[in-house]
Amino acid sequence: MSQTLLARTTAADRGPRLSSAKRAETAATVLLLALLIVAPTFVSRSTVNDLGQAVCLGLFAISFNLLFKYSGLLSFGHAAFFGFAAYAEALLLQSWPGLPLPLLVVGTVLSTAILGLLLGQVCVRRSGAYFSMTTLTIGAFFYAVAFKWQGVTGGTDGLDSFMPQNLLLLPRWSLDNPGTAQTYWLILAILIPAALAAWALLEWTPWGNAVVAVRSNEKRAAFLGYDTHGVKLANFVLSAALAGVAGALWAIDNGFVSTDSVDLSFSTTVIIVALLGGSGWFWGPMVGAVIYIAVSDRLSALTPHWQIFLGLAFVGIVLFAPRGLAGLVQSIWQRVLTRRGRQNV
Amino acid sequence: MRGLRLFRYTLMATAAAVGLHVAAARAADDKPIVFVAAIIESGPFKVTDNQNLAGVRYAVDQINKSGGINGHPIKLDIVDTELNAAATRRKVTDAILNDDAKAIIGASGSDIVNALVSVGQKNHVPVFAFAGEADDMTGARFQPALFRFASNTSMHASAIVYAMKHFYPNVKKVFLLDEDYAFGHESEAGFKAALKTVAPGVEVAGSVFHPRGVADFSPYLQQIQASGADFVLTADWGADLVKLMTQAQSFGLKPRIGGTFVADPEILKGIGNAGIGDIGADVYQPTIDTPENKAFVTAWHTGHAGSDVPWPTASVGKSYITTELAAAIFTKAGSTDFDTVVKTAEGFKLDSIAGPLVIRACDHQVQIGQATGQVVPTNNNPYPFPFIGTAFIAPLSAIAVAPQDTGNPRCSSAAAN
Repeated sequence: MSQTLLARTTAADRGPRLSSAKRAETAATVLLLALLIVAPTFVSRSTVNDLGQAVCLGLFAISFNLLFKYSGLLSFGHAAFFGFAAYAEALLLQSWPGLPLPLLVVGTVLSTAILGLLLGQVCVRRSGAYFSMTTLTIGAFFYAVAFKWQGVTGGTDGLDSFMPQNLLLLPRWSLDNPGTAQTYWLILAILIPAALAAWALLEWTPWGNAVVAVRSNEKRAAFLGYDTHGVKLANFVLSAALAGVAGALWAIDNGFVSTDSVDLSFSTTVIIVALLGGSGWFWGPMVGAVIYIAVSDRLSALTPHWQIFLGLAFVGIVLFAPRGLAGLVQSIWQRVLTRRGRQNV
Repeated sequence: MRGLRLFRYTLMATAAAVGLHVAAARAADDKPIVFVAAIIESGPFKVTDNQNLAGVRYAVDQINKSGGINGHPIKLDIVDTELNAAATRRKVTDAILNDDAKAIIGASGSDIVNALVSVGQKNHVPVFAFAGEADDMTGARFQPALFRFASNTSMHASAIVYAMKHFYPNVKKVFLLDEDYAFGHESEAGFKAALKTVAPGVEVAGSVFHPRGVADFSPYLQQIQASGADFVLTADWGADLVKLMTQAQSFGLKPRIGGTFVADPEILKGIGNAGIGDIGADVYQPTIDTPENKAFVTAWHTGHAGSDVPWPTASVGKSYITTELAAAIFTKAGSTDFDTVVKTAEGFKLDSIAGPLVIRACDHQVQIGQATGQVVPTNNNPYPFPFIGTAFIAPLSAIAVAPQDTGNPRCSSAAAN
């Protein structure tokens, strides 16, 4: 990729990035992450337990959204990467229970990224419905492998009895105690830096602009000198790696892995979560995951027909707030600001 | 005068304090013990678990009516597993953290039971399983938190083969037909092992795995007919089993079917006479011919006439006995402490409506004979459709998995000792 062209694109995109909207987004990001970090100090243990699952699901939804928002690619098989990482980590831990946690996560994520690189070579050659169908096929393939390869994956019984024992700098901490701040903060300690790195890369570097440029007009980007295939592939790999982080943390949090984590319906759930939270904001899917877990758990306790209500709520959001809940909050906030401005005039 | 008033106030305050103390003590004595039941409450498999939930609820009602667990009533928390392991893990953990649940009762699906065991092990809460038959749960993957009343795949397969020998003593060749996934493969291995030990003269004429959800069984029925088999053994369930049984009748298949899940009214009520002559087995059948079970069946029907489950089923019986077993263990333990409960449960004996049972100490697998039966016309059974006739019990000695064969290291050392 030519440095001159990249610099030009960057310069063109820098202007709006410094806008007040960008500052508000950054402030919202800081607020969201701070809330997630301090949550265990003021919520119950069961809520912390739910939050642990929600942030893993949220990171998975963010990884999906890297493709959807930044590359305009709708993946129907993203659980393949999530599930692959979860199974990889379980198998690693069953073989080497004393593997240090950081090494374990890095190994899992690297292997998922390599898988992303291999599959991405095929997937990103097409866009639109063709890309979606290819990812759907890949998702179905990975589900079949998990379902049928009983000797390795445990088939429908799944894998259990694994838990990282070696936490290196935190010898007194344990992941064996669910619902405690220790488990949750350990998850966040890996999750937040990973998500922040992806956020910074896509929102604050020229490379992020390149990804958006390719999405906006691939032909023009190619004429400008971008290796459009390379840019899309790199974003695909980044998305797979982030899904890998989410899958690895999910496996640690649950203490078992089953075919649910690679199921096609899980690939659908993550789309719902991302759109619910708002795919327009990098952190929107994280908000969506927290709301999805909270609402679905409470609804399922109230009525066996909870999925109907959840489905109706989703349809309502798509119809009346297509930018998701984050977009809804943003537009309300902008209206308030506009009204205040008028009053001041 | 002032002193008298002071004395009166002091007396009233003391009486109030004593009253409050007594009330508080009584409240502490009556404090319920929370059992969490993991049940499929939504989606297409809800129908199956309606029976399990009915059994658990009935058991809890009966136990509470007779004084609860050492005076403590059981409070039942029901969580929807969604047939999803992660959701199950999250919701059951919440029930433990919020309500201080002391026992987990569940659940349909081996992966769901594994999730429950993971939660139970982490939180030190025992899991009492009425379903989830994978052998290795109490074998190589044994975890102390799990106590399984449901039989394992090997016991279940042995019971079917034992029943085949009883009802069809002239069978020489069998055909094995199973679904192509973990449970199907495990069941096929179970049938083969059972044939060697329970019916050594019977040979396997052929075997095939078919995809789950297959619409047309005719290719498999042709294979069965061509093999010359005179009996079919299968662990198919749900829609696959219904299609197999109805299409076998339309096809004119002569060999009868022995199926792990044949004795399920949800299967038999929709297939008319297609199942007559087929055999099934499970830990419990409503047709067990004992006074205790007959009384249970009558009492159940009296309380549930007009409901979705007017007669007890195998699932009802299993979930009922599992809950009864858990409560009996807690009662004997006199404590809800995990280690005490586990220690009490190992070797625990109970006279249940399915017969006497014992929890084997080394692998926590309940040891009990199995109720087998042949599908008979309507007038010979409690249901308004052909159902399993009077149960024939496959004795434990014929179907039990020897401790050293479980793959559980605790059992190997126990057997060696």
